[in-house]
Amino acid sequence: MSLPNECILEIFSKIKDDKNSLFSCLLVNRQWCRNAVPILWSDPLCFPIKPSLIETYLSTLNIEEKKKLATYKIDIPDVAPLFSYGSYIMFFETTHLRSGINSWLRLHWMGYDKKLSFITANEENIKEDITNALIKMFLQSSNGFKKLILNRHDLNLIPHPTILLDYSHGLSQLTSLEYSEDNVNNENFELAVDLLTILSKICTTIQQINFSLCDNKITNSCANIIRSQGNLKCLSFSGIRNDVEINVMLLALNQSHFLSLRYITLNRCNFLAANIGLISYCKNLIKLKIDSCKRMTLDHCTSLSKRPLRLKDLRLFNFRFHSEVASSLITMWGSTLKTLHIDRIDTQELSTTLVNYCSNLDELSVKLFKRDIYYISLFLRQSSLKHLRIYIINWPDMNLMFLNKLCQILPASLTYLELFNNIPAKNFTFLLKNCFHLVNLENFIIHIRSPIEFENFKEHFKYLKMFVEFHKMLKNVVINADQWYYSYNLQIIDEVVEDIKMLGVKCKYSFKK
Amino acid sequence: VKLTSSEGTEFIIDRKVAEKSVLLKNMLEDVGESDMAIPLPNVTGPILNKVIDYCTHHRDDPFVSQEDDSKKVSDDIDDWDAEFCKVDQGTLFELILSANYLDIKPLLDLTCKTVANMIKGKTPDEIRKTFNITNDFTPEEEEHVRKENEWCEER
Repeated sequence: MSLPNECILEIFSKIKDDKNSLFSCLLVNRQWCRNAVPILWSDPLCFPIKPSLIETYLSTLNIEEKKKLATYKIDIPDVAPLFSYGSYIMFFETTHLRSGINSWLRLHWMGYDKKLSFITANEENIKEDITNALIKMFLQSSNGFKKLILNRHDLNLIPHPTILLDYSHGLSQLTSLEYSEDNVNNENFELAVDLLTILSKICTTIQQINFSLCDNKITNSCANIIRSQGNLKCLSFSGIRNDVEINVMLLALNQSHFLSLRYITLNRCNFLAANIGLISYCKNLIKLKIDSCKRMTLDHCTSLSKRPLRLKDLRLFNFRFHSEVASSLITMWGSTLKTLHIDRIDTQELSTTLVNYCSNLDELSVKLFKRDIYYISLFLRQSSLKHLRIYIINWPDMNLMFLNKLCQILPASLTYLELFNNIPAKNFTFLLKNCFHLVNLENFIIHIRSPIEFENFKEHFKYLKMFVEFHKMLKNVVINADQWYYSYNLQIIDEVVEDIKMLGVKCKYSFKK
Repeated sequence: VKLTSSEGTEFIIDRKVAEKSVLLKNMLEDVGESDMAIPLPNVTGPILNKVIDYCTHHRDDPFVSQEDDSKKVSDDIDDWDAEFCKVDQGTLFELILSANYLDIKPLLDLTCKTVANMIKGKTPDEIRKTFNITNDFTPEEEEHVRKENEWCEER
């Protein structure tokens, strides 16, 4: 029985990241080939590129472009390719294209005398011409770019922004844009401003925007892009180091964004007097992530509290402000939160806030310093969390007493438990013995310090099997250790792992090599 | 809700179960309450029986949006579903066709994932043998396809 194309496409979409299997599908028969090509060729520029990809792309250029390249001793066979490969591209990344062209040229010129003067003199122009020709071809033939990833460093390689206006069709369906800068020098600065301005005219259906900036001078152009989108769902900006520029970005938000935005991320920003209260106008916002930002105060919290939000997911990473700010945010949004990622729970006030306001929380991710265990325990003991990730920090001497304490505060409602770092391998069995009350556990992931006495360590794995036998709900066990020693003989562990798998539980272990 | 398979066999199921199918849900909304059986000429009795089993088991599952679903990989099949898919290849393909026709996205996902798992790691020849497919490429064509796509081999 054969399946129609739409079903074959659906099957291939399930292995879209497994290029080897898709390559096999391509060679099965003509029907499978026709269905595999669009998937394989949708994102080849998202990964480091092999030279043969450039070769195939060049074969799809038109005669004029091929003639032009022939003047650089770049001879492309005049055999028509089987497919218009450029038309399938959906995800475009400048950096990989640039390095792919470099390595293809190195291979291509290998047969020529490298000292040919025109090559030496024009190498950069040649690279630029090839890149230009390919990008023009993509823009002309593409059925629609979905995602564009641009780095300012590479902008001189793409066609001049004004030319993009002639090829607006390929870009008009863009749904995701990432623009980044690596340093504050002026390289390609004007090109970046022009490009972002042109994109703000061509692209109006972007749903995801991610700006990672070093240079505050470009924020106006970024704001223009935000302004011209009618259905923006996800906005992330990073590296904006003064409040005036943050305001430029936030003031670009309009009534349609206040309805459409679902996720906002602020990363490496310096809040100072920024009017971040505008975020509270986004009434359908469900996820807010504040990562490595500075100078957030209770005044910012007050401005955020002006309008109610029903946040489900709050992530406060590398929080460089006082826990009372975190307390204030959690007081505001805690009742609807399902997920909270927070650096520390390190004060009585913060743990009381969690107890009082976060009764619906399902998932918590938190760092654990030695002195925080009391405050964390106040919340954990009474919670009905399902997912818990604990990163144990700076605690190399974690003894049995503290390990016991840690285990005792884990709520029995947990279905997912992940413990990072610093669990001494010799205490592994002790940990398991003290986790027997976690009867609902489905996923158990633990990162331990590698054992030096490996002989004893095998016994711990045997105990793990008993643990799995007792915990009937367990589906997945992962054990990662931080180092590999050559004295390890893993055969006995492998046998135990196989036994555990026989119980119907996925089990993996790895030693970092 | 009454359904009739291609051979005319009648099945009576709960409306909630029937509504797992977007096609049936839309039809029921259009028609309203009715004793008339809905004919499903593209689905045989035994396959419809399997589909009903699936929809009954998953009747209380929440609706999964396209966005969340795209994150799922092909090896996260739960035990009941894996057991459900232990059928011969003809049945599996018929389930795919029915899930596609009846517009039952989770069943289409499950059955396609099962087939995808049968493809993973196989050579073209092994895939042809597994699914009894004839190679209709000429040797030149096959070589041409291989050459133009060799960048993704052994990635």
